[in-house]
Amino acid sequence: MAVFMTAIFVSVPVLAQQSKEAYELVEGMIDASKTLNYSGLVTYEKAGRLKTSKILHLNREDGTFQQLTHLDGPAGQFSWRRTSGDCELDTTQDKKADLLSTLTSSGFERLKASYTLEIRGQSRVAGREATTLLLKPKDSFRLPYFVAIDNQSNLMLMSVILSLAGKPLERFQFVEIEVGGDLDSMTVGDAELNAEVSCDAGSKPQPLGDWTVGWVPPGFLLTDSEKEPIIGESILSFSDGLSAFTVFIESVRMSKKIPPFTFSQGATAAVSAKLKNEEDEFTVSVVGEIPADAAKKIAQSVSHTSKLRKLP
Amino acid sequence: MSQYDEYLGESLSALMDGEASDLDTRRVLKALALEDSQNAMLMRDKWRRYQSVSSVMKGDVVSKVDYSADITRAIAEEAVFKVNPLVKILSSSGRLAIAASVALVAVLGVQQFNLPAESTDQAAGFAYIDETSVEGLVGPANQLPAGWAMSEELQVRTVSADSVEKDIYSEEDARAYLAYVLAKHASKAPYVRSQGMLPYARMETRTTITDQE
Repeated sequence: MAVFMTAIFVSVPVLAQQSKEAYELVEGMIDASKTLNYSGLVTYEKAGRLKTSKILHLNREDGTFQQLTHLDGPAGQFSWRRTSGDCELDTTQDKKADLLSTLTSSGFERLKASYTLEIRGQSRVAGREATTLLLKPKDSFRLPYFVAIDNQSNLMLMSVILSLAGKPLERFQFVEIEVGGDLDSMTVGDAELNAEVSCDAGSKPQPLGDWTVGWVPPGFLLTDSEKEPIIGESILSFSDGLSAFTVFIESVRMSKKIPPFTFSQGATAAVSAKLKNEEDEFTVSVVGEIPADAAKKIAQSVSHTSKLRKLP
Repeated sequence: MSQYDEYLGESLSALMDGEASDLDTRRVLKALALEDSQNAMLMRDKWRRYQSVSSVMKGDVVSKVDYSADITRAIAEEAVFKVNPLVKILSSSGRLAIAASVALVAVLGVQQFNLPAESTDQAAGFAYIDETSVEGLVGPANQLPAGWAMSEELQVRTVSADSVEKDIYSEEDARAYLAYVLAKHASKAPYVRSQGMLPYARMETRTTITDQE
């Protein structure tokens, strides 16, 4: 009995300690991606396909510059610059977001609320010692992640999204990485940008007036919204601090061309459903790295202020 | 001449005339098989004589040279090109594999659009993760949240081969739309800082991005 009791008293603090370390590790990882300059070669594997790319990530005073170059298949290079801060909503600035979620906190806080973090051991990725970590969802509306975090820099070296049954669905992994050094003084070219993302106060995402997403899994917050003026499409992006999904609401004209469907490839699920009012039919699509069931439920919860009925 | 030799002579004669029964043929071949035996020699001589007579009767040229021994030797000396059984297996299974993969492509091509997400096993054939870390991981039961039930009429309909939608919507449009939403989502996801550059890796081609941004 004494042994048994001792075992309990010893193991509980050990578990708590491990969990604390896990949270610190993830926090460190998020910080590292905001502060460090790095470049490297990565592989991305899903649905039986493997892609290789070269990436460059530079943090500068005026924002973050990111570039990805495909090394196989069709040639392509994407470059982004994010001018300032996180684009995620924070509670002090947008009260409307509260309607969409009961949780109102930073990305990391929401991540903690939605996932259990567990250190699984030591591993080696891209020639570097790394700690592996399992991010296990607390409900069935998001997918587990298995990640490896560099012991030296705290950067994420590997990320595997698993199915709810624990099978790998997609895998992103560094083959080689260089951190700091010459990258810290490297100048960023402006000409080659594909996209510029500005996150100043004026561009904070606002829920789109006409449309309401009635239900999102707990912990997901609106991170971006957009109305496409020409085709009349409304786009809403949500994140729980780790996973993300995007809701598309198509105009009547577009909807005529889109069938309702369910699709999944790798960790990404896409679900398209129909909404109808007296005269018109709209299409709602939900795309994200979430289980298809969750995507379906989100799609079905979308409604219009003019009380659209769901199509039977 | 024994009774047997008599039968043999008759069988040979019948073979010559093209009237031999199975029994006759077998009897002749059996006698010839004993190459050095008296009977075999006699048979060969007789066969040669019969052939010569037949040729003369038909007005053909009659050769006195016996090629048979040379031909037999030549055949015996010919190198045998043996086929490695493994190669046979490989080539046949190769054909099977190709056939199977063609079938798979055909099935996948349809499945990607037609089947509900759950039934496509995307995890199949995935590279092994180096450790046992994910062993025993079973996610929460796939249950519906409290106060929510999926009723028949609310269910998202999937496009299946026999559904009516297939006739209304063009598959080309549907695929283009799917590619569009996937790319658009990939370009939105990088807002999530904790994922680092992972969402970028999901992007497919340059055109899908530049078209939208």
